[in-house]
Amino acid sequence: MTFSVLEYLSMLLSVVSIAIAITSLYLTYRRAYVTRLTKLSNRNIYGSRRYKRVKRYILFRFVCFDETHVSEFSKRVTSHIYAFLGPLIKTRCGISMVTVRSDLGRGIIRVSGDSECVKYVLTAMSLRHVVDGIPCLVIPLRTSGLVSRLRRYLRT
Amino acid sequence: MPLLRVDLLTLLDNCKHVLAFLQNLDIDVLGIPDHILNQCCEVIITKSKNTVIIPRAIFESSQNRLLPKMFELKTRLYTCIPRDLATARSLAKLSGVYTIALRADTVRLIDENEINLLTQVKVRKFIEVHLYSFIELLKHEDKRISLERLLHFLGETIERALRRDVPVIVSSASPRLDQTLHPNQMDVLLFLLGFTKRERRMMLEVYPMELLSTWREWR
Repeated sequence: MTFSVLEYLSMLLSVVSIAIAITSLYLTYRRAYVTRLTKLSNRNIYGSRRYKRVKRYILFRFVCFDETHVSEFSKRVTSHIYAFLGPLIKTRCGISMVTVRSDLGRGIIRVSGDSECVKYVLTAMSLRHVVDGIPCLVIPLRTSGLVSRLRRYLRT
Repeated sequence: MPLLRVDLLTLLDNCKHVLAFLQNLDIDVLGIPDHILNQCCEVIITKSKNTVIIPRAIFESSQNRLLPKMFELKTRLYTCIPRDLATARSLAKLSGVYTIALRADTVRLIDENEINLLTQVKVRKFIEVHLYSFIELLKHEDKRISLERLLHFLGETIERALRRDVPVIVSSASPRLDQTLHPNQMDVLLFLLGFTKRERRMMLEVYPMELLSTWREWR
């Protein structure tokens, strides 16, 4: 079986074209991979937010079963809630007292931070009295994103 | 938060505490122990005009004695605490209107097989969750008991029961006034366990009312 010069040349050309195609495919893939890696590393460098910061207002009611005065207790509510939640959640969730009506035994608390914070704060309000032994219940009544919707419950 | 505030079981041990509970917390339906109700019936009735009072009692079921006598079952609404697996299975099959207590110490007895049994019986049986028995573990520093694990079991059991249409009631079952749980607080705890609004309404409002109507008709 003998090959002519033209046949040799055509075989050589086809081998070269296949090699060029493989190399170009490899280079394209590598370029795409590097671009993706750069995007990922940039995201880590610039620290994009992984959660949306939200704020919620919680209307609650105090009920004290002993001589503890509601006005005195209301000043310490936030510290009690923080003590229940612990320092780890304190870094994620902010709590502040918006208003308290001692005569009605009601108040509004503002919770800001991760969307899970409302759940944590509501739980802390509900279970705090079992753990710290202070005989005052904090009963959550309503949760809203607008404080104006809750203020009407504080009017006499 | 629930529109109808129902707590079908409080274990307060004197009249003074029951009165303080009724005066301070707006409750629509309250279950109190039968012996307390007998002690201060008149005072409670005068002070609680807007509250429905249900006589309750706890019975510890064992293989020797599974249920109280029939006339006792008809005069007060019993919650039965099974002491072993065989008792729990027997309680699912017996006739009569009572609830099966789901507490921290009985959570392992009321498993998937028990729920399957409860779906097969003719007389609808109710599971009653005593929340305080789980919550009081927050105070103990016993490393052998994992509260997370118990709450996980509790959530699994409730979810399984609701999916099979076995009624579940949630009550505080708190023995102390200063550590009691308001229905709104129970709602928050169920929210923490991951139940939807519909499921919470079912457990806190619909099923308790169904239990009361079933008990009333059965009497």
